[in-house]
Amino acid sequence: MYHKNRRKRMKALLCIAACSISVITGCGNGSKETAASSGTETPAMQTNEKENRPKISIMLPLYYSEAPKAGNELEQKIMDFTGVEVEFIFTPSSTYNEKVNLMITSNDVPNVIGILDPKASVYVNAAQAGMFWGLNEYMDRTEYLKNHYDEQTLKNASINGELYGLPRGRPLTRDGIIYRKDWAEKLGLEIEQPMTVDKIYEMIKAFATQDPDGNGVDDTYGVLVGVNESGMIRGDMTQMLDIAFGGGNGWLEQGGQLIPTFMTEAHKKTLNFMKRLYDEGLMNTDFATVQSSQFYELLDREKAGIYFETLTDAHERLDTVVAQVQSRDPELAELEAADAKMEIFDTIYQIQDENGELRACTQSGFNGVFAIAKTSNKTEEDLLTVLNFFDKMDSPEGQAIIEWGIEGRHFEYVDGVATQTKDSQLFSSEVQPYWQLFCTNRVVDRSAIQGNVAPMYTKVYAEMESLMPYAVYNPIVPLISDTYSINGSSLDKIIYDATTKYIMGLIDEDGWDEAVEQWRRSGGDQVIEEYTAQYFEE
Amino acid sequence: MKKGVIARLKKNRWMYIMLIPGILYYIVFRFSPMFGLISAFQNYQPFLGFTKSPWVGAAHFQRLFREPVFWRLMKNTFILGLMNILLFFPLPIILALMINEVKNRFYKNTIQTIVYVPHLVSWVVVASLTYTFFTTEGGLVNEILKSLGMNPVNPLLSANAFRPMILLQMIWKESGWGTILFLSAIASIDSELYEAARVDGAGRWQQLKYLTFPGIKSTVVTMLILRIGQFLDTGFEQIMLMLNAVNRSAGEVFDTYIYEMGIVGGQFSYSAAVGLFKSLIALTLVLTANTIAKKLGEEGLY
Repeated sequence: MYHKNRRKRMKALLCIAACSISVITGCGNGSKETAASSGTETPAMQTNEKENRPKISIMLPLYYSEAPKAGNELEQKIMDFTGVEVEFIFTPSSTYNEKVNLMITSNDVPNVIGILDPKASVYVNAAQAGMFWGLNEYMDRTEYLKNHYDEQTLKNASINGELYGLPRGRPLTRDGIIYRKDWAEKLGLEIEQPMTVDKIYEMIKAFATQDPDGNGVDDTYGVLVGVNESGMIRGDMTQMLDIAFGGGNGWLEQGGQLIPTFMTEAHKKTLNFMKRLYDEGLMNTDFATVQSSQFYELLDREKAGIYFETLTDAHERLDTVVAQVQSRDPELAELEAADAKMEIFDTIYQIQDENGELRACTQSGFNGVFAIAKTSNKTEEDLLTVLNFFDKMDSPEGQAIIEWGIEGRHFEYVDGVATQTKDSQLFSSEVQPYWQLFCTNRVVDRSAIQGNVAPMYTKVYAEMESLMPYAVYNPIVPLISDTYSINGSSLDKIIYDATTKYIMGLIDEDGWDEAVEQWRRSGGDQVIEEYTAQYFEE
Repeated sequence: MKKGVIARLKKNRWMYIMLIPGILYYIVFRFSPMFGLISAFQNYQPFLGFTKSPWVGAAHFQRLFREPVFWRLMKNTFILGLMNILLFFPLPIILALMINEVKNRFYKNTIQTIVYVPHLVSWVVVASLTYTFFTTEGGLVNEILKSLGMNPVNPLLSANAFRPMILLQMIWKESGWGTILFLSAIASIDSELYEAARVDGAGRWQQLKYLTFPGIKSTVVTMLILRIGQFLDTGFEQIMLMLNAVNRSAGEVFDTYIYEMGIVGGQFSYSAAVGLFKSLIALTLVLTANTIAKKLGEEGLY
């Protein structure tokens, strides 16, 4: 009896053991499979020369739904050109900053890590603690980078005078409004640059009320508004409006101090403008819950015809809408997608302020930096390998590789001029992700890599460049406030929350003033003090 | 005596061997990370490590108590915790008792399976379902209300509706799953007792009152104490997904604050201190609840 029971128990045990083993080996098989598949992607024939190449890994943000295949043709071309084996780690942009923070926390970072928010306390503290190589003394050893970067960008990207990463240079004046050109034409709206805020309002109203999509149902918003993960209104919308109402770009000098624009009258006008849109039903009432994915979903469903965003969005996104409109409209269906886009979307880039003056909202001039960690690049030699890689990629030939991709697949030479092939989907999935590698391509003379690109691309870049003389700068970009580094996210939230509540009518002007007062009490006054001191010191 | 121990070890060796994975789990994932708690008393810099990071004593705790947001976090966390225990905790028990009363086996099993399903849906999906139901721009519920000539509701963007919304989401998702344990407790009650009760003329209500409920009482108490231990774990994922500018005043809790400060803001030491503070409260609550349970004549946890 006892034995029988025991045997039963043994059987049960064996069952459990078998189950757990199958689970474990299940995992094992999985990892083996992925290892095998990634192995086949790299060419089997590896010459000795290739094996002797130095290896580096680079972490980049990914703004598309799918990452390019590891070891693809373009990556091989980059590696052959630079003589460095590179592992590209693409990480979705929505969780990118968190990933970076966790990597820095665990002290386990790739050779090169793209830092998107160079003001984030994690990065600033780690840099000051000595986690990343200081690059000031090494810049002279580069051939292209030292000539291509401008002083101001390097200064803006430095922390207390030391450069801890290669800035990913971008045009300063990138902000604008993207709208449905076909809708505007249908309603007979005349849109001339420059626009005033009043004209923009009229346009939004027409889009919201006059049924621009012609389906007989009142189902379109005038302007689509969304928020980012921390609750700030997307696409620099409030900043652009602030400037149009005569305010500063984020911060401004007033009465011997640097103060945030939201403490000025101009921002109240912005708030009232947004509130008016909300009250009159000219924007989506659920804007405070609309984040990135929902935002683009609503655009793709053609619910809205106007939104505030970086102008390059018109080139890099919106392919879904173009395809949909083409499938309905036989006239547009005959055009190539890139040409059809020109008929469907347009931009407003010149906005006048109330005095009739043209003023353009600017971003920082760089989209984060490439930081090179001492933990993963132990010796100076390792550092120079990385630096040489980026230096080579910044040469005209290097820039052309990632600008154009592979000849015959992504572009062709037509009369000796590089011309992007018509398959814009292929181009955006296989070439555009690597544009994240650019250090100076977006800001210096690009004549070496000129060619025929999609017309929207040429158009928005020309527009952005034309805005440079009218740029309104944010004075705090090169400054660091310790208080803000520690408490910035809580401070920002006070203002973001109050902005949303004011637009929705949950608080009135007194409530708004109270929120600003709360911001100042919670550390804002110190931030003002610290920025002001640094600003006038320089 | 010693021989006795070895003999017992030998006799129950399979039991002890089966215990090893569990012990390993606790050592690797629960106890060893506690070492990291010393960072709560440092200005921890990953690059410098634990040994070289400067010590700051209780500075992070002082900061927490001085933060204007502290009392708001306390209040929100406690209200959500109380809601959990008073309004959510009894539901799986009631549901289990109801399922137990179902006579038809097939019907009973079907019901059980259906109430389990929502547990397998992730919070992200629950959140986006809620969005599609309640958004003011073409949401299902509001479209229906509109067609009935009623005013639209907007629980997504309302501080008052935040807590009920969280509670309803939780009831929908988790109450079915919670019945498993109670159903098995009910199943373990000796069926002879029921036969005897029936012979004595007890109705179903009386069986429930005098047999079933006392039979699962100790399970309920144990679960309650464990639940109180998780009093301050307010379901981070769920809350994070539902938070926005308007309902933050009602929805910000310790868990979301730790996430904001630590993962987003990168203030590792400070968030470790907040986490430690939270754990201390939880420990106190469990000890108190256990003592009370014992005083009331229940078994308690230990």
